[in-house]
Amino acid sequence: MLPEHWPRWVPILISIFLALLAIGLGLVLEPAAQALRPQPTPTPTLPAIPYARPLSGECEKCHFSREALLASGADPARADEVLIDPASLWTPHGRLGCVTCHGGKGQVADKDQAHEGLIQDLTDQYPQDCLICHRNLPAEFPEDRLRTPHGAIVDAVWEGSPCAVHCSDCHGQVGHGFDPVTGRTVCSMSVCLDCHRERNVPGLTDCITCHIGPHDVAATLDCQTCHTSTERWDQVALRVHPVPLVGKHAAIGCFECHQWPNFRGLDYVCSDCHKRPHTFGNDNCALCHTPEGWKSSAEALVAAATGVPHPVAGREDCRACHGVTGGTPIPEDHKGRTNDTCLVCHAEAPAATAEHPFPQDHDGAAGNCVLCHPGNDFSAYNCETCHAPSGMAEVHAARGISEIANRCTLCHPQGEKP
Amino acid sequence: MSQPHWGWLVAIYLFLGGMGAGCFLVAAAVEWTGERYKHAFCPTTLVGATVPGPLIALGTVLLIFDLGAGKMEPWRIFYMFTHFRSAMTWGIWILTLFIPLCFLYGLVELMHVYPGILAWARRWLAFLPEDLPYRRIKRILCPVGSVFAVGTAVYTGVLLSVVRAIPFWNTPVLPFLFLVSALSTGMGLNIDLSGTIAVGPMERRFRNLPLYHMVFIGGEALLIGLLLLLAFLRGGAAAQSAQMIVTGPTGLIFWVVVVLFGLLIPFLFHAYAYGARQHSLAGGILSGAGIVIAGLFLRYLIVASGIPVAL
Repeated sequence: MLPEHWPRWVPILISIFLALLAIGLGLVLEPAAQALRPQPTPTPTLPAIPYARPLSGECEKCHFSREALLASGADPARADEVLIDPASLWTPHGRLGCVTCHGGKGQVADKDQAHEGLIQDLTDQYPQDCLICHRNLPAEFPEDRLRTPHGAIVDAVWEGSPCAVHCSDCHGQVGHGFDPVTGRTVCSMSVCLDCHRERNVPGLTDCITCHIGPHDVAATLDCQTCHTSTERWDQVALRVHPVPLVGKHAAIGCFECHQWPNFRGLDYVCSDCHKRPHTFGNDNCALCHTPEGWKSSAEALVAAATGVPHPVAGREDCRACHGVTGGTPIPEDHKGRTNDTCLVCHAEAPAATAEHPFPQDHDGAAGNCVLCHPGNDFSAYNCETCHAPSGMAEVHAARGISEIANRCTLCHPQGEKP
Repeated sequence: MSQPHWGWLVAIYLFLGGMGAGCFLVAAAVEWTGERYKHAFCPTTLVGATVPGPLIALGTVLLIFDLGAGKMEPWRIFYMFTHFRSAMTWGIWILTLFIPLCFLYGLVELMHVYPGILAWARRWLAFLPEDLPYRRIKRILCPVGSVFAVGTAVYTGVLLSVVRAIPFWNTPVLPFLFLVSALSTGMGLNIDLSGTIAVGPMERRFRNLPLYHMVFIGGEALLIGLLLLLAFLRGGAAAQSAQMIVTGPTGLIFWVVVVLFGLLIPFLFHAYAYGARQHSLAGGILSGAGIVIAGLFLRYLIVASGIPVAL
């Protein structure tokens, strides 16, 4: 507390003193604070950009109107080249005003005076002006998988070295509609290639100069092995592939089967991608299906299959009779098919043919078809399996009966002895 | 890379502008509520009326000199009065009106405390009346000035928050933070420091004073937290700025000077003072000094850590 006899205005001085003391303390501590503060990367002294939108009124009067341009004596054939869309004023660069980039005198109505000191292309004559704002230019665009030459260009600009590339070469007329900052405008690679060719820029054939390939296959493949277009990445030619890509397989994208980005994860079997929708058969889908069409190829097989000419009941094990050899072997193209797939295509014969004309339990036959139908040939029957022809001929000859071949059932319709 | 253009001069301007506005608002509140007239001598209104003018004027001079043109072509400052879409124009109008108002309020308060000033002035300005209705004059000056004081305090935050190129600043939280901080530093200087030094513990005069202190300190802490949280959530340059403050090279200043001495210790001190209904002289001064110095460093940290977006 201040002594009673001190003037009342002393607190005023004390307050101001304390405020200044705080500031002094801050300023004394400033070197320490500055030492602690991250030191900005020194950059060359930047020229000041005039914030010149209000200073560009006369530019706008002429260059926003074709009629005004022609009235000012502009060449009608070239008027459109210098006609500016008023909407460009609302782009980030357009807001800076015409004279910021193009110089001249934007408040002077006289055309010749207004164009004194005109800068046609700022990025050609004063490229460092672009770098006032665009300081941290990326070396890569990871989302587009592109490398940029920004580093070399910026270094050249700051060093004042000659540089064959200007900002506007790639970024166009940024103040006049084309605004790459928004990312809405995508250049075709042809634009780059044409420019590179004009300027004899080396490394044109080396894709990785500009592109950051997503596939880790450089040891075995070149980009051109698959990619055939400079316009679109997804235009590819399947010049190399472990298995032929035909039918519907030829029409799908690489990464509908392969894992992005390195093509791994495939054993080149159908089950890599397809899930068997039925319980019969095995994972060797190609036994019945083709890439031309999963369903259509199977339906074609079914349509072409013959019916089973004998009852199936009790004979479900088809391969027991229809082996790869024997009387009625399976066709060559059926090899590998499993037993449970036969009836998927081959339907059982109609019931009418199932009425057997001869007792199937004849003398202990017990339904064993092959006894009478060797090789499962149901178009004929043969009694000779049990009844030796020589013996039968002798017995029948003794009774004066000849010509018995294939006529057994004429006299023995039920297999009985006469 | 943090922005290299604004440094201590701007931070000091923001600090002086905010603290001056806060002092004015505290004095105006004491004047308007009649608390000033309950004691023979009220250092709160005397300091709060006379100090803001010089402080804000000094800060404004620093701001003008921080602008390059302020040193080379100071007359260009007048261009700033006509660009009404610019926040700087709003600010320059607020300051242009508020600074004279502060000096006028200070003069009236001094004349009220020292009636001899009017008698002395009448020797040169004979048209002046023998006496002036000081209280009635101040009842007009205080509310009008308070509007401009709030405008000044908010404007110091708006000045930064309109800079879209620096995402950490570009948030509506900043004007609110600077307003609350202005009130807090104003109370710190006007009451904790000056008042305590002049007449002893101020709780004897303003019973709920520690509660107000706690509200403003707590509010300031919440707004600082919100500012940092939003910056971290926004990511990019804003998060980098926040990280620079919290864990970067200036993290020590933030945690020790701003959080410990500027927020935590004063809050605990005032909480104790509110509960015990008393506090020591040294405690009040320490609390006030912490709040004031933290107010300066808070603004410095925010200014210095502004990282512009890369184009």
